[in-house]
Amino acid sequence: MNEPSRIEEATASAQVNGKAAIHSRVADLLDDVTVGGEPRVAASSAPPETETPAAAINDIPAPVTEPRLAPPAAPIKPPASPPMPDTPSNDDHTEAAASPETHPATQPESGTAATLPGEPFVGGMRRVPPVAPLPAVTETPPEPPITPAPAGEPESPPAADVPPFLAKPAAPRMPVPKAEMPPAAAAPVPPATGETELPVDGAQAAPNQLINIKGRSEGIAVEIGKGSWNEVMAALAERLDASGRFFRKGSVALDTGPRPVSEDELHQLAGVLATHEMTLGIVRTASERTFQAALALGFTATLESAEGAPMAAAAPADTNTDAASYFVYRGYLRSGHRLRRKENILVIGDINPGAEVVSDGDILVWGRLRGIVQAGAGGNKRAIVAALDLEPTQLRIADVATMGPDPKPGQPGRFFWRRSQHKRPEIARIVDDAVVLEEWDAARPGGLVSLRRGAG
Amino acid sequence: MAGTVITVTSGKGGVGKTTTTANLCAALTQLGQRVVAIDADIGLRNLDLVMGLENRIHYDSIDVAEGRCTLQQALVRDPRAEFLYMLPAAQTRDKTDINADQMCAICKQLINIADFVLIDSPAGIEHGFSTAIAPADRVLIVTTSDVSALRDADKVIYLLERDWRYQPGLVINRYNQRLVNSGEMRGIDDVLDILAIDLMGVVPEDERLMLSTDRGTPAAFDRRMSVRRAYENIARRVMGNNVPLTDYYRPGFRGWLARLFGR
Repeated sequence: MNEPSRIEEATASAQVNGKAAIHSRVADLLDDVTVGGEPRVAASSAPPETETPAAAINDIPAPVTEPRLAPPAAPIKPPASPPMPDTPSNDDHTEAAASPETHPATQPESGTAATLPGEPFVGGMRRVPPVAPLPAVTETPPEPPITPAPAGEPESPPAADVPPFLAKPAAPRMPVPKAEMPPAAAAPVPPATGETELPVDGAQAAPNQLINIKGRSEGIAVEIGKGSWNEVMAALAERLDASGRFFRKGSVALDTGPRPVSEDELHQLAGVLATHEMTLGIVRTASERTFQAALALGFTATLESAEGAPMAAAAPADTNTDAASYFVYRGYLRSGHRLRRKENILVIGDINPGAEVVSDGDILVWGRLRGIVQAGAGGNKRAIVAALDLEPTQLRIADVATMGPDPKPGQPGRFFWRRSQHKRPEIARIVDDAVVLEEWDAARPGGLVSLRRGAG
Repeated sequence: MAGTVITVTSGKGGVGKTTTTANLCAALTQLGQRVVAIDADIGLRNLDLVMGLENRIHYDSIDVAEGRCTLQQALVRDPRAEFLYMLPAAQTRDKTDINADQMCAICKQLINIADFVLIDSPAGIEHGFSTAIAPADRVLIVTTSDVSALRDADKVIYLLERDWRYQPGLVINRYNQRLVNSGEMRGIDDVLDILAIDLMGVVPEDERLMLSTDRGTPAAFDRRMSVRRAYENIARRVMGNNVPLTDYYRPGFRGWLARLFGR
């Protein structure tokens, strides 16, 4: 910062504003004298225009929040507010806006009461019922990571009936990737049959382990516990150094539990393994974030629920070998979201423009499909794409691509255009090396027999 | 009772984040709330201009974060309101000069003295966005109804849900009922169909709004601006009151009356 210019600036504006403290301002600019804006809240007794020397915020005595703007009838705040510095309030934020302390004058004149729980927030405007932020099934660990909340306030779960926007997020207000893991994630898995614990060194039995290394018949399993990623990396390098050549040239099955791991972190881990002549074979995770990161880096990955059960139920196919298993995604796939699965994909929700869904099998959408989809990505030309409202930006089956429908005249922004009221579910498939869109019951009689015949 | 931190963001630039922040602050303070506005758009600050406070700025949020002044010294009081302060951004620094922890620390102090702390987020989804989101209790997404704004808003909602577990509220800005009636532009329902989040309000397009921005008088302070009612309604909804949405679709004389007085 340029100090002289700052002083000139302050001087000039102080002259403009006719402030009295100008001399001390120039002399002690850096010493927090009565510089800067006008007194804010300390002036509980002074009229607003009076220029009182501004005290540091932490020095303001208790009755700080004396209401200066209280309507004559009743104060908005109780006069005796808690002292300001470092006193995190225990109040529940959930109903902050609809607080009973709100002065009656702030209620709507029409007499409408505060939002009742369970009511749609804006009357009649929501066609779509509130969707859970993202289903815990696929996207989030079941338990939010426990982090010291930045604001230091107690976690208050939002009331179930409060509209989502009014509810405070249940999770701490820090980005998920930075969060630490709940203790449950770090619990070492008891050795199962076919698994042999290798007593590598003494650190193995230490409580609160950052990592846990096991030898298995098919390779080495590395489980990652809680702790910051740098600590985990340091611990991993240390353990691998300590084990000497024992693990060399091995393939590692990494289990990150519900911890969200970013691409950078995963890349860093692969680098640590590479320096010990090991390769990252497979990433097991319960976090969709980690799963996407692993896929983005080209690793093999499996997404499982926190309890260890695979998310996608692998149902044995009786007749149709295409239907090996289904990956079910409940929720919205929004712009920038990429979903890549080997299994068939069933989306219960919308695929918005800008989202990408890629499957080696079929893609079924119970909702609107407006993004980019690719079915049969492994080359299966019998794969289909079906949606209640099939208006993809781009649709590919195997290696055959097609663009979405052309905009109708007079309708701008085709992929963001409203759904036609009489739209029927459609199925896209390959007939004679071209993608054909058919209405669900267009081929009747015979119906979906044509699907069974397939093409290619 | 501690206040609520609301971050106003959009993804795309130029859809009216700063205007919405300034007017929402003005509307909230006229409803008797104690409000502090924070400009998080460091290096490209505009909130001071829109609120008409640019000549009162001595210190900024980075001075506070780096300890060169107290928070109280940096806050700029709006003389038109009873309790409306602004914490300006630095124009000569950039967004990497303040981090999420510093922003959280500032907001933690502010919620003890204010009912609402509104943060004007920068455009984009990079560092400045994360810094502005970190201290938020709630997030408001501002969008217009054109495709580019909608796609960016959609992406921001995705990021908020994935990384921050927020369920944001939506403000549709510059809503043009005439184009919607002629079938050339998306209506409110169509926007909600795509974004599928709670609607917090609709601000109709008003070219005089640009003038009020230019004059540095938020429309919510200006009795002559009819759009003032839209911001007032949003403010009431933010405060938790159930305010019915003006029915922009209603045709005929009653609809005309509603549009004349209701918004």
